[in-house]
Amino acid sequence: MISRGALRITIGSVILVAWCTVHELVTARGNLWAIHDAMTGGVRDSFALNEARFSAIRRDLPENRAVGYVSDRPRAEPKALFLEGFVQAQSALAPHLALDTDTLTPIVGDFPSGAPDSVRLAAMGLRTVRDYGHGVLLLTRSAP
Amino acid sequence: VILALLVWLVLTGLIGYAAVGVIWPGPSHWKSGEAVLRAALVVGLGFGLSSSALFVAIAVFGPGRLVAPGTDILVLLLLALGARARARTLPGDRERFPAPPAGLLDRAIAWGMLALLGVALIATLAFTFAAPHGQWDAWGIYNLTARYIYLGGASWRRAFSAGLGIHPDYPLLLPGSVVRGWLYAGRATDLVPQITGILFAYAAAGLVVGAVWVFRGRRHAGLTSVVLLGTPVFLSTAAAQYADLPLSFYFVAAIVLYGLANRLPDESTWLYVGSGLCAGLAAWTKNEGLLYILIVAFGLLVIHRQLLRDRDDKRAIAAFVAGLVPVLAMIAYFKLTLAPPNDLVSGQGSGTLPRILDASRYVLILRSAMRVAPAFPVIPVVIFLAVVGLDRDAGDRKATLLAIFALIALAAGYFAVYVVTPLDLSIQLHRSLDRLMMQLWPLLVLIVFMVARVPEQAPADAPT
Repeated sequence: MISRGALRITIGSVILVAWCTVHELVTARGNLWAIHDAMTGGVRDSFALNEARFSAIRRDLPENRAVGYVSDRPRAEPKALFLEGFVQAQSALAPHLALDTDTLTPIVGDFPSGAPDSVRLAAMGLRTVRDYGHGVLLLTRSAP
Repeated sequence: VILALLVWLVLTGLIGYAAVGVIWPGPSHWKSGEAVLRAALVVGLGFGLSSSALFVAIAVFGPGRLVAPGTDILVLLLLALGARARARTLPGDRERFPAPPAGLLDRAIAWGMLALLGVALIATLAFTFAAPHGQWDAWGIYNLTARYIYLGGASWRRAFSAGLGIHPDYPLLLPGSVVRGWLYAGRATDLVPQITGILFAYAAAGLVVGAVWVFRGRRHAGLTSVVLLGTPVFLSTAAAQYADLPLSFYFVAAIVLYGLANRLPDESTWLYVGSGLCAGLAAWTKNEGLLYILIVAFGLLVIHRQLLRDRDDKRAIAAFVAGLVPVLAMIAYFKLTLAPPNDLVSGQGSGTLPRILDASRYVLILRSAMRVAPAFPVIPVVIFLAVVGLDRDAGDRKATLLAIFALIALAAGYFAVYVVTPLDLSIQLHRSLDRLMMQLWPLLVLIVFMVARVPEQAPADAPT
């Protein structure tokens, strides 16, 4: 004999447990695919890449003031590629502070698809002080 | 590094343990709801208090290597002395929340819960392995701020420069915890934010489970854990190194400690202090916590509206304020002297009124909420409540009412922020709505199992 109240509690509990278990197993399966991708090289560690790219330029940046930052990454939302690259560059450059402007000098140039030539830089009012490779440049304003 | 991280974790645990010893001293059997609740509070109070103390120490001395252990040992000593003094005032062993023996269904749910916990941990670790730096807000806000404080030396205030990362004005509980771990480790290892995020996530789940166990019994606690661990956003957020689950921890902790104070009148003063402290730590975690403080303070003033005449009401409010004020003073110092203006606030002006009057924004917010809702097990929870029924005479009425009021007011507040945001609304919804709903989800789950009828109260008069 089981009371109606106890039966309701049991039914409610079984529905809840079954639904949530399926929910969790589906999510966990997706996560295991993520770990598979990471182990097989499907996921690149962009932070480690940027740490390596910006390690040399850090030595040439001033200690006590902010510097500028320019990049050829697209600014269009919603992918926010510029913002993503900018914040990762800030993280790699810490404790040096790079701000999203070309009015502060020197300027960190971040061109992951390849450093622009001097003509293109001149059109942007910039010139190269030093090229560190991998699309990382130390720039300054070109004389007017 | 591993040894240094162990020292960091042990000291965090000891600080939390001593803090719980001050706020809610007493023995508890390890297989009880009290033990689960205390263990969760150890994590939240340990990280919260040590992070707060470190910020004060850094503000005075700068982020030197010895600042973290020095501050931790001082805080631990003070709390241990307090806990010892509190232990002396209590009567001997006693069972505060006696539980009936577990039935067959209770045991089945407990085993199911353990299995789900195992799967959830594997899923969380998989997420962490796939994204070791966490997700957007983690590396764009919290870990970035922590890096600039940790690496900044004498220039640590640079971490709050306008233009650094996404929100340099966000409060510092999480970055402070990460800096603290890095100071022990001697380098900015990813392990620190990973461990912090995962511990906070499972502490938030444990807090809700422990509270439901204490207030409503073992079976509801088991179901609570099933619902939380079966929430896909919980699993992803646990590994994302976001501040949303730590924030939800403090949302729930403030309510739970308030509920405990009402249930344990002999020990209530320090529990009210703990409730105020946790409300303050919510605001030290994210700006949403400031809204939470306003909401909870208003709710408490309504509940204890006789405070000018009633001694108990006066004591409850005074103790809550005593716990809240030190953290609030620290936040005020941070906001007034270090943090740059908040972009959502500084972006208001002539465009605000047109945004408020734009009906399409309301529709977009509601549509987005409907799109995100399936990531939470709302439907089975509603079915469960419909089948089981509500307990209109729930014993912890004040705490439940405060929780319901806080949940509704927070949701309304978030809705209003979306309406007036000067940023692109659809992008902001896309990036933040699931996280904001995750902040509220543990509170909602707590409410559900506080009001759902428990087995003993089910109508048992009609055998089938």
